[in-house]
Amino acid sequence: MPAVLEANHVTIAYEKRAERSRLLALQDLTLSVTAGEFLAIVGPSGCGKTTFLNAIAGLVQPTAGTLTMDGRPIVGPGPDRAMVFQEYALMPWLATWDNVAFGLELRGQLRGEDGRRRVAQFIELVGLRGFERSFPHELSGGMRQRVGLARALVMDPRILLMDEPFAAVDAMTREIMQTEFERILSEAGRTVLLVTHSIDEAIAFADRIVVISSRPGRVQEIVPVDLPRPRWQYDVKAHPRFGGLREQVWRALQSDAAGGPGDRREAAP
Amino acid sequence: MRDRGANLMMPARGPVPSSGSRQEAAAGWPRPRNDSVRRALLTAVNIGGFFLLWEWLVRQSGVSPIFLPPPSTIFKAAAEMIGRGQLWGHLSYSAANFAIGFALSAVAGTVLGLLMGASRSVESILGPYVWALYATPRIALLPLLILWFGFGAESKILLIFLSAVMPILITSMDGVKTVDQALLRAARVFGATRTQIYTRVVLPFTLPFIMTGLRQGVGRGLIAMVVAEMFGSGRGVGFMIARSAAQLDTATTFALLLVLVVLSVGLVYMMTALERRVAPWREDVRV
Repeated sequence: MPAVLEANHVTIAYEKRAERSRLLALQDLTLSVTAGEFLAIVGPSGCGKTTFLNAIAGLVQPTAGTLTMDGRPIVGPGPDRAMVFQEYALMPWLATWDNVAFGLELRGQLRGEDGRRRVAQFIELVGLRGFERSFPHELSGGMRQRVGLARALVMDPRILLMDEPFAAVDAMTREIMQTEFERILSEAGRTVLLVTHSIDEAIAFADRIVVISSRPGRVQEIVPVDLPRPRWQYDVKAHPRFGGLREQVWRALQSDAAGGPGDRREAAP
Repeated sequence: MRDRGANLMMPARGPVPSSGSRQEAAAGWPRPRNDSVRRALLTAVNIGGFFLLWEWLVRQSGVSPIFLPPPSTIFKAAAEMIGRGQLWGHLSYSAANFAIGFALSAVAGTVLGLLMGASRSVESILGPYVWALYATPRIALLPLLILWFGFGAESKILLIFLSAVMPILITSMDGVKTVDQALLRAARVFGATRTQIYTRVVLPFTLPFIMTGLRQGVGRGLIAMVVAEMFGSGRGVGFMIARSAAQLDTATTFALLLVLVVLSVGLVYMMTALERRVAPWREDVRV
């Protein structure tokens, strides 16, 4: 399988002007996501997960190392990458239909029947038919995140980035949404990069779990998840191998907490 | 707003009925209507009672009508004033000045506020003047304005403009500065250009702030209108108030105040309704 996304020794540092120091967010991160793969990145808060996603989305440039999509370096945002956000990030003044169409409209792809049909198709896919004219504040958290998913999928991205997509919904909704999203995405054969701090969520979703250490973020361990798919058809947590996987990820996170360098900052030269 | 219910398919609120919520809706919908009728009735009874009590107290205590006229005398004075056609000329003069001054401040306040919020260099150039003017009671500028522009409409329009423009400018600027970072990030990820960031995110986000500023501007502008006419004017509602009070025609003074109250309440009500129409998604901005 060819790699869709490749990160080669990626280091990202921020200049902190006020303190005249450099904040090392990510250090020497190397990983790749192959076509059709679900990769989850798990790590403690402040491990640079969001920074990494921003870099893939093209909002920040790596300080060192290379980041490529289908072999071409990432220089800015592009239609081959779309994101589902933690706090939904839906435009509050747009109804469901317009929020889903947001990316197409920005890129001028909404003209003609084709774009409109796509929007309708993806609203249907996430089960929001009948809510086209509802505004985000009229929808529940779960429904809002479906709008977020449709908005991303309608772009037909090569890779779907998910930034803790269920962090803002309640526990019960989260369980339902996880299986639902897993079903939608695996049926469509999508390539997905999920960033989360929930081990259970990572196991339920991923083919491989990349455990990242706390700041500066580095690959601590890669755990393959060999649970059978489709996973939405059974209770993943009840699977006999679930406990072992959970422990393996947990240990990787623990070893970082025990011996990790913690919050390391470097003085500017 | 965070999701609190576990129900996935039901809207938190809103007009879209789903099969499950139809029963609740049938029981719940007629209520707001009843409520608004009841509230209007209560207000009418409340205000009516207030005037009756006023009338009764004044008659009981035998206070001189020059000091505090009873409502019946005030309403009579109002009817006389309107009947003699005296009010309309003054009122239309005031209203025209207000309309021009407010329109100018709406345009200038919005444009300058958006620019100051969006660009640090514009803010650092205009900032000192804006804040100095904001901190100064603008009424204090009236003598200067009269000196420069005379006793005609120009000095009044300018004072209305200076008073109303400040809240509009400041709230527009605040709106741009407080744009939700998550929305900006999303727009950039989905490929928004610099122009699109402004037209698709910053502007719609700021709209409710601008509306709040406009509503506050109405109040400030009305104050400026009355004060400017009270000092150094031969026309307008403010002039009539000052003249009637000087002539100890207290009933007319009260009648004019009543006209002002109706006018300003009506205007603010209109602005609030407009705000709700333009930005139904932001209830937290409305103060």
